Amino acid sequence: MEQYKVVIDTLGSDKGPEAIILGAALALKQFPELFVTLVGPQALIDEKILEHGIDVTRLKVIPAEETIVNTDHAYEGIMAKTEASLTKAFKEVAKDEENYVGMMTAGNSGAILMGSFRYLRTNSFTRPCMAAIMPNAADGFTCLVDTGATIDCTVSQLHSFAKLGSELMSKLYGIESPRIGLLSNGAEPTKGNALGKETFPVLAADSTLNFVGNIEGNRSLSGDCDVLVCDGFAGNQVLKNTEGTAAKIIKDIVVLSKTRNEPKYMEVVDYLMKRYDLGALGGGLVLGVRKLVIKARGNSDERAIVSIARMLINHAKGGAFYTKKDLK
Amino acid sequence: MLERLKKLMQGVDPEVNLDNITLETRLIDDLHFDSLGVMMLALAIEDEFNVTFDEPMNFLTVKDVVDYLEAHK
Repeated sequence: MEQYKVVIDTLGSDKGPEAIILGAALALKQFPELFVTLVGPQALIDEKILEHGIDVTRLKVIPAEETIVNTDHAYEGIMAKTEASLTKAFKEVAKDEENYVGMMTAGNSGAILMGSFRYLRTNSFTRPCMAAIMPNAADGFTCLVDTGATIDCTVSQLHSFAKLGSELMSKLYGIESPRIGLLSNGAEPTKGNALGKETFPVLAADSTLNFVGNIEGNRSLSGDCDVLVCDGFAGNQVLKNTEGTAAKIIKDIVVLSKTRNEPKYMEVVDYLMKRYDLGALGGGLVLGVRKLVIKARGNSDERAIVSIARMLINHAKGGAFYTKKDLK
Repeated sequence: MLERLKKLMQGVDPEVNLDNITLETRLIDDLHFDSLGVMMLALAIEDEFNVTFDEPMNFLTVKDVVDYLEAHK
């Protein structure tokens, strides 16, 4: 059986290393082809290995006690905190990149971006960005890019993000010519803020991209495009607003189920949770680097870690991160 | 050296106007490099000039970069 090696940074999560280690243990049980390198506090990892009966033949531990916390300056953190778990995770992947599928971390987003570029940059010196793959209403998936890496973008950056998103969706889902949309406040080419208006003709003029024009927020997950391009500020709002709205709807259905004594409603809740519980679905990914770097949400629980392990394995096998089967 | 640095800056941000870059140009305030941009520039400088920054690069202006590189030739 082919083995898939991944590095998991256990520090930096809101829920502490225990949830990440538990997730790794569950993933090792669920995927016999998985090999995990855990980076984090040795004593705790040893304790949890015993507690969860983790298969140590498919486990390596790199001790690390230091964390790059969210209040650390990202650049200074990744440069100065050489003993931090995140820094060590990047170094491990870079050192043995031929054998690793990639890595995951729930740590400081800025530091993840910095580390991705410092240790895993491409020869073309591409500026990395962050993307999220989200299920859409057309029974497919939409790649949202950027989801927060670059808050104030330039036209050339959005152009680059469009190319990276297109390449990703082509590779992941076999889409020959992914449709690229530009997030805007109206469908017409004249709509948008200054950045959007300047970016529109640049995307339209690039014959390597299948640019389908502006996409309004209410159609971000309609399936009208395979890649939705926006600056990191807007992308982060789309991502979190989608999650928040879905959570509100799910909660309403749960309440209805109880007040009307209709347990069947919970089937709808299960369906929606699989599609819109982004915490459980996995994480965002860094585009524009040599290896897969997946950013789990800060409050990720063990389900997210299992889901991310699945994403990494699916991708290593040459497939998509998520399939329709994963969501049903 | 300034011309080589300008090319690196353009690599970080293709929209940088090279004609406007002088020794007094400030990396963040004038070129609007964010943290990632500063790191990209630092790594580009490492590659181009065969130097290594063991600590975060904290240069204010282009002249600071030039002075550093002259001192570490």
